[in-house]
Amino acid sequence: MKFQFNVMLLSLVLLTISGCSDDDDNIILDSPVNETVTENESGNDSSLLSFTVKLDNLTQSQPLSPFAFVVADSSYQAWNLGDAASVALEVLAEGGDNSQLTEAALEQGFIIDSMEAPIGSGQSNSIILDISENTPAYLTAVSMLVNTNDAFTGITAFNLMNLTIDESIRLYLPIYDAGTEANSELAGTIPGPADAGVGFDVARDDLDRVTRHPGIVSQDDGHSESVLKEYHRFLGNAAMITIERTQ
Amino acid sequence: MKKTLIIFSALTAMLPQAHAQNLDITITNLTHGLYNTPILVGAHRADTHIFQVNSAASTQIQAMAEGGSIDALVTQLESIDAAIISNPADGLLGPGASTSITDFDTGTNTYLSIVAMLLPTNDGFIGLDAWKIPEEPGNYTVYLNAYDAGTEANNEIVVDGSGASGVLGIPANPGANGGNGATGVTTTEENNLIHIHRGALGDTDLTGGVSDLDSRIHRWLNPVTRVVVTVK
Repeated sequence: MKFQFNVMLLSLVLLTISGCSDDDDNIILDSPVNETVTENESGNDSSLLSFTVKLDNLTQSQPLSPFAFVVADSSYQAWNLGDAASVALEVLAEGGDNSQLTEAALEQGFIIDSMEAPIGSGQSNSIILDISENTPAYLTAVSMLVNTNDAFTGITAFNLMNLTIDESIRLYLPIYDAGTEANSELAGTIPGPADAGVGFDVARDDLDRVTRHPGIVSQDDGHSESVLKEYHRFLGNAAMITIERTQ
Repeated sequence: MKKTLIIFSALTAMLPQAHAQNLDITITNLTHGLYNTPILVGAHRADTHIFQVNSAASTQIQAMAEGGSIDALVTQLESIDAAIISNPADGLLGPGASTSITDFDTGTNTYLSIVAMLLPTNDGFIGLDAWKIPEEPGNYTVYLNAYDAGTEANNEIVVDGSGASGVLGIPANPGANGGNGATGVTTTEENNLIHIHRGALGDTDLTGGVSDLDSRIHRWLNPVTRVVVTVK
């Protein structure tokens, strides 16, 4: 019982660090503060589950903003197809800023993490998620395609407990449209290097529903006022996520 | 040497997935305007990949993706004792067409890979990378993306002989339904690794423009191929 109590204290300390710092990549995040740490019958440290999560950017020229990670219970959905995006998701999808999304999840008592930097095309990055046994473990990973108005890619409410130790799974991540900003492709509206324009704008001038993304047009395909070029185009999926359970 | 062999046999006997498998496979070209060059189907062990996304294409993959040649890939797979079906469609597989393989004995190989070039593209290909063959009998459907080998700029100009590595261009347009005299879409590529193809640009100018491809015909959305595997 003493051991479990120490684990709980450790959780509190680590969560405090992550809550105060922008530099929390790879910090071990344990169970939420309000989680009851349950008796470990075997008496060893097997109560810790560990996952390596790798993201590969498979686009031609769409850097992916720093991925946000949330490990929550099954009720948490960072988005629902057909529903309006939360403001936190809008901020992420229009400007690549994931801080509101992770802060909101943290306030709900969920485990959060974030990559420190964007992932360029042809690049990859990994994080390690450590989770106490009996903690609900539904993963959300989400990022903006920065050379767009409001496209994002990711996965939400994926049950990590489906994986056994040493098992891994590869999934392609679809591209969604937050529906909060018209896909004008105009100068000044796209935050990525193609434009260096404005990211988040509080106005909602599109469908106000999350859908799959229709793709960009680009100036090379007849939209003469677009700041995007043919090499910014994409089809269907932007990234591959590889989740491996190591413990 | 003898000891090694004995250990290997013992391991083989213990691993349930090492049972020989017998498969039927049907491959369907789902595109509206693209062709597959000769298709390569290989069953191999877990530690083998003939391609991986976000990795540089091997010279064997480059030869397949730029010119449709699977000879070097066959040699590579033979060297690792893979089970191979080479060119099941006996040439090109056109839009909407299917090809079927029956009684494919994978031996002790338990992972499946499939590749073929997409025409008319510069270096686009269909790909299945090390898909674990299920042990339970049944029908399994897998949809494939179109990948860009990252080895050639997608200039979209049809050039005779450009299937050779290092020669820029689309080697052929089997449908003979495109244009000519294009100036070229691009001469550079930002992502030189294997990635999801961004699609063809094309244009509607059959005697010029930037592309020899017709944007009304040679466009696609993923998936581009359906694979139905029957484990018997």
